[in-house]
Amino acid sequence: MLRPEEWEALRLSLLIAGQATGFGLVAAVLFAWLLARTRFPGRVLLDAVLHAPLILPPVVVGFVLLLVFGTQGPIGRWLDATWGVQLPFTSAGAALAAGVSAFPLMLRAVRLSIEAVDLRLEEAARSLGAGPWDRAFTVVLPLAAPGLVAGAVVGFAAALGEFGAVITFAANIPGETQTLPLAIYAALQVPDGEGAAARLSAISFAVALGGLLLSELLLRVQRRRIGR
Amino acid sequence: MIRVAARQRLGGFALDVAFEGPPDGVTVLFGPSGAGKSATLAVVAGIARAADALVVVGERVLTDTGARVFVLPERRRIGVVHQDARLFPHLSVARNLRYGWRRTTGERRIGWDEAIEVLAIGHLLDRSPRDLSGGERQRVAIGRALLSQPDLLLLDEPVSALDAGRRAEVLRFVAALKQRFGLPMLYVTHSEDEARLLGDHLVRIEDGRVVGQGSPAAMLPVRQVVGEAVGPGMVRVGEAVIAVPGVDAPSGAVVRVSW
Repeated sequence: MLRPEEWEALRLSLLIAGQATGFGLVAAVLFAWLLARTRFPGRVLLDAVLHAPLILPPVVVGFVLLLVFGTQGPIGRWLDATWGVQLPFTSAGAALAAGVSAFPLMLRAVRLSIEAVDLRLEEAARSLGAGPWDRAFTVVLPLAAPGLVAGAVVGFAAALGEFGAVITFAANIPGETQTLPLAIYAALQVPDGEGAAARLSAISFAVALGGLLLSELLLRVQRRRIGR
Repeated sequence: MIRVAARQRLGGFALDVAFEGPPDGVTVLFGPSGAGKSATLAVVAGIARAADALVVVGERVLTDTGARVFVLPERRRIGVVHQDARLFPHLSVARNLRYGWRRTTGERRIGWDEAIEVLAIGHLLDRSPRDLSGGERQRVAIGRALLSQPDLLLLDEPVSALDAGRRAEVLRFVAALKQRFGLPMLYVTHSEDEARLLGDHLVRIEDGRVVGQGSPAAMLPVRQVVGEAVGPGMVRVGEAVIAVPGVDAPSGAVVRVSW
């Protein structure tokens, strides 16, 4: 049914979106906590910077990533010199671009759910002898879990569909950075590619639908657990 | 011995209280809403930091602004029960109870089985907090605080969100607690009945100041009512049912209660 290179695009897409979601969610929890629970100068500025990928054209996001993580960029040069790691034109780079683009959506969902946790429950945990990390892992994060799931789902969907940032930063290399949307674009560039484009689109649709159903299931389980 | 002194300005409200309580009895903080009772408890629990405060429980100095001593709330070993039980909704009753229990260090003076028995919550252990009645929720909250092995128990209007029947039920358990564990308690209320029933020492607070302290009998006016016995220790007066320990007249009998 599918050709090997189409399977490869699907595998890459899931891998890249998975990595983007995994790392993005951890970062989202850290920054959401910072924004929801602490007050410091420059907080509003940080909030704006973190949300920038949402309002910038994806190509600009990819270009900024090239400036920062490219071989001549400050972090890119350091990564190359210290660890021998190069991000542009690699699947890790594609995951970075997809993750950065999807990050604001994850941040938003996670932050709302952390802000919704009743501070009085944390106070109760405190009087029972729980320190800050203890409270975070036993009270706040479990109660914010539905928001984390929701954040992971929108993040995964956004990362899966990201085109502009990925193609700008990581290019369109079959087997390395060619995710489903990039493969669809490539298919449309060749004569008689419509059949391949249609098949790839159908896979994208199936993956999206599957993810949505899975998240709905997870949410239901979570809600029952925390009693809402 | 409990010693508390706090001076703090909260907007237009000035809190300036100082009192002592017995080492193993119930000290009632009594006064109208907004008098500063809960603000005082917050200072004792370490949730609020007053500009000028002293909190001593037994031998332990928990707050002494003069000597720059401030023990974090999580290290105070002070159990707190509020009128909303604040049970963790994602944990079962048993795991709520275990939350403080697991985090204790050293010897446990209050036994697991003993606390559960006194509060009669053994049959609730596998339930979720949302499946409990108001009275059950408060009993579990008290149990959770108790099992964290506190040196002092703070009860902030623990029954004021309950209806009269449930109120009497929970008060009975608090009284049993006092008998059984001899733990010092600070009990905040604006109800004379509760103050009389539980208090060993009463501190009257009005407008952020202590306006008098002494035994509840001496501090509260004498009253007398005629009512109808409705069960052991329960008397109906008009629409309300009040707890009167010691009443064992048959249901329906007319009783005169003075205090």
